[in-house]
This record gives sequence, structure tokens and C-alpha cells, in this order.
Amino acid sequence: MQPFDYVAVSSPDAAIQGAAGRDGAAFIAGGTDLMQLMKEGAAAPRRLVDINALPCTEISVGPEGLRLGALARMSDVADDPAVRKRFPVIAEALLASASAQVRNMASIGGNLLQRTRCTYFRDPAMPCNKRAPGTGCSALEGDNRLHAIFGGSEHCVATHPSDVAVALVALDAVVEVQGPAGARRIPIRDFHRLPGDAPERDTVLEPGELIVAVEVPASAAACCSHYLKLRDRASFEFALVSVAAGLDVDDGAIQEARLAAGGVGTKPWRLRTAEEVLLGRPATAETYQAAAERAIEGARPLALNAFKVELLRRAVLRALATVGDMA
Amino acid sequence: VSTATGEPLSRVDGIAKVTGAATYAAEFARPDLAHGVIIQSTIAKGRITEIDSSAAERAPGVLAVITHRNAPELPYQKQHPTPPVDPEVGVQLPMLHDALIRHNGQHIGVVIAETFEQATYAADLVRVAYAEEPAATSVEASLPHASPVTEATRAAAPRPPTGAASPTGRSRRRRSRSTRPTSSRARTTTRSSSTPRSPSGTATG
Repeated sequence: MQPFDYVAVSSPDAAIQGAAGRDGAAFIAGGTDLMQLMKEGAAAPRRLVDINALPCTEISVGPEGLRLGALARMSDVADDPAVRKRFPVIAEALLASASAQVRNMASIGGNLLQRTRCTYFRDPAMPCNKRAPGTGCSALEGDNRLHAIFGGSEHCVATHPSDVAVALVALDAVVEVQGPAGARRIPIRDFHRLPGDAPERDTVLEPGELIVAVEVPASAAACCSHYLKLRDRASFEFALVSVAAGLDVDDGAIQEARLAAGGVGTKPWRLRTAEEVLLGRPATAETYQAAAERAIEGARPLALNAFKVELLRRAVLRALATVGDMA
Repeated sequence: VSTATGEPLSRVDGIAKVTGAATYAAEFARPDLAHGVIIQSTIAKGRITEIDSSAAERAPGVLAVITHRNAPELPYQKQHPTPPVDPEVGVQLPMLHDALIRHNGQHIGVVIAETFEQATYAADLVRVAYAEEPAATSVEASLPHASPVTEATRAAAPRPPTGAASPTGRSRRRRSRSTRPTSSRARTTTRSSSTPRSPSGTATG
């Protein structure tokens, strides 16, 4: 681990100031990912700006929707009765993540900024364009069982590891950001970047920009939603394939549909064309089947992860059947 | 009649362990304790051509950087009778004895420093260059070359001196950063021949 200096701040302005103009400054909240990256040598910030004392811990549900402070802990959000009732897919995605101990520490803002679990990214001895631009991608020809079938490039095929980001993408959340150039609101579908030829940039955040909150609009489909996570072991493991699904069914017909997938894309992957198949159709197994077929269109599996295509098809089918029964 | 069965018993160290108060072996403070961090090979097969430990030796708190170049040679002392844990086949694998790399992640050095953090940092500063050779990483592909171990082959195998003394104190593993070998095939063979470490530590999701 490289030596670094450390400053604790208590307001967003002080945090932004603490990081401003300093090359290699990083915000630290729960530290459940950043500390690992630093110990493994996959990240080497020169300065840590500790934002744990910022007053950004709110969890509020109103008629407009849900507002989560960036420093709300995963466990607190997952346990909130209003979140569980009106945004079950968010609570379920959080509870399917990590362990109780990690969820007690990890923040919502930090969750969106966690780095990929690609083992080559986390091993400084290996070439990796995301960690060390220009060194090459070891996963393209290597052990790519866990890698992406959507959104990859010749430079990177690493998946985004967050569960709750998949739920937030399905529900059209907005990320509220403050930075040296002021505040802005970024739709979460635009928040994470495709790797393209710059896989070292996971998000559209500019240097010194800080997530202060995440907002999720209320919707009927959010109330009737579910997160299905499939993984190599039943707990404390990342998704091979996951699906966030929400349906609003009226008089047997689907009025609103939300579908996104995790573990398959280089960013949380919205399944819009599959949603279109559902709209206006009867909430039946045949409809779900047609949507599941559409969900896997355009998948580009690598040598070792073709199983994800069929697994995604079946996961979409099962998640839709589950929310269809709730609706 | 014994009352030792059928009654719940508290573990003597139970409270300490569930409250996090129990002390791990590495957490005991001893006077003049030094800390070691291990350097590991980043290739699966080949030999070390160069180790540059000068920056590590200059780093704060560093007491020694031990590699095959300066590790004390210990004679192998045959034990009589042969201890039952000795395997039927194979040979002893001495640590820090030569420049040969036999497997990915092989321990090739250890940095000793006054604190664990100093040793960790200094281990990061050690640069190693390798002459890499193709490694066998598939059992199936290697089967045609396999042969049963016999008394004759076992007797022919060398019995090199056994490992160097290991330092006391906390130790952890650190994979060495390789300086780019001049050989052009170096990285591609590394990629196919070395498996990435399995992820460790916490997982968020």
C-alpha cells in the first residue's frame, strides 16, 4: 500500500474542497471496497477525504418517490419499512448483497462507485486496461467465465458488480452530484459508462465530484417489483446473472414494465426491448416467454460464459412470473 | 455421575471471540518484534534474472530484504526415522534457495521491517525480472508426459537443503511487481500460464 494522507470533513463543500485540485484524491465512506483495492495495490490514492460525517444519511419516502442520502447505509435502506413496501426490488437487491457486516458499513453512494470484481483488475501483476490503461485486457483470452455478455469492447469486458444499481436502473433513479463546477442531476442510466476505449472511467463523474443523494421516482411497477440473484453460492457472492423486474398489471394487461439485469453487462443493463414486448400484453407465461427471448438478443458471450445467455433468459422468465403473481 | 454431559458449557474464550476482544497470534506485541511480508512470483515457470531491492532496502524501517541471493543456506538434515507426514512421492521444496520458479505465486523473497505497514510498503518496491518458460497448466494436456513415480525416480530426485528460517511476527503475501522482461513473449505466456488470485476480503455487490 502506498502512503497517503487523510482528512475528515463534515460537509459536502468541505469534501469537494478537500479533494479539489489534488491529483489522486479519493472520497472514502464505508471503505468496504476502497480499502481492499488499496491493500491489493489496485488503487493508490494519495489522499483520502473521509466523508462519513456528512449529513447525507436520509431515507425518505414521499408521494414523489424515494430519496436516499449518499451516506445512507445499505443495511438501513434495506430495513426501512417504506422502502420494503413501495420499492421491494431495492430492499431485496441490497439484502442479496455482501454480508450483514459489510452492509452495515457500505454506503449507497459508495455502492454505485465500487469497482469491478474482474480478478485481473484486482491483481496488479496482470495486464488490465481498466487499472493500467494500455496494458491490454487479460480477460478477453483468459478466465472470462464471470465477464460481460453485453457492452464489452476490445479493451474491457468486466462486469459492474452492484446489485442495487440494477434495481435503480430499472426504476429510472437519478444520481444527485455536487462538484467544483456546481451541482447536477444525472439519470442513472447515463451514470455508468460503457468501457469503449477508456475502461478506466467507470462513470461520468468528473474529478472532485461527489454523490450526495439518489432519488427514485414512485411508480406502480416499483411497488410490485422483485430482485432475483443467481450466483455460485447462496450468500456473500456476486451475481452470475441477476434480474430486477417490476410490473403494473391492470385488468390482466401489463400497463408498465421494468426490467434490468446484473452480472451480464459492463454496466447495469436495462432490458428495454424486452419491456416493450410486455407493454399492453396480457400478464401470462406466453408474454413473459416472449420478453425473455427478447432479453438475450444481442448478447455476445466470450469463450467461457455462454451459459449466461440461457441463464439470463430463464432468470427473466422467473422474475417476471414472480412479479406477475404479485400484481 | 458426571455432570459434564447434558449440560451447556460456555467456552472459556467464547465471550472474547464474539466480542472481537480475542487476540490473534499476529496481534501479540513483543519487545523488538519485526514484521515480514512475503514477495511472490508473478509467473508460473522460469527463472529470476534480476531482483532490484535497492528502493525497498532504503525504505523507512526496513531491516532486511531476503531473497535467494542472500538467504542463509540451511543443510537438509535427514530425520530418523522418517516422519510419517513425509509424502510417499515427491521431493522437498526449499524456499529462497535458487532462482527457479516452479509455480505461480511461489515465495521468492521476504521483506523484514519494524512495522507491518513498512514491510508491506517496501515489498511493493521490489522489482523482479524473469526469463519465462511455458508452464503446464492442464492435467489433461500433461497426461501423455506423465509417468508413475518409482523407487528409481525417487532416488534420482535431488534432496536440496531445506528452507531458510522464517521471520517471526506478522507476515502476509505480496505479489512482486515484475519489471517488463525484454523477451517479447513474456506477457502473453504469463497470461495463459498464471491463474489470477481468487478474490479475497469483503464483497459488496
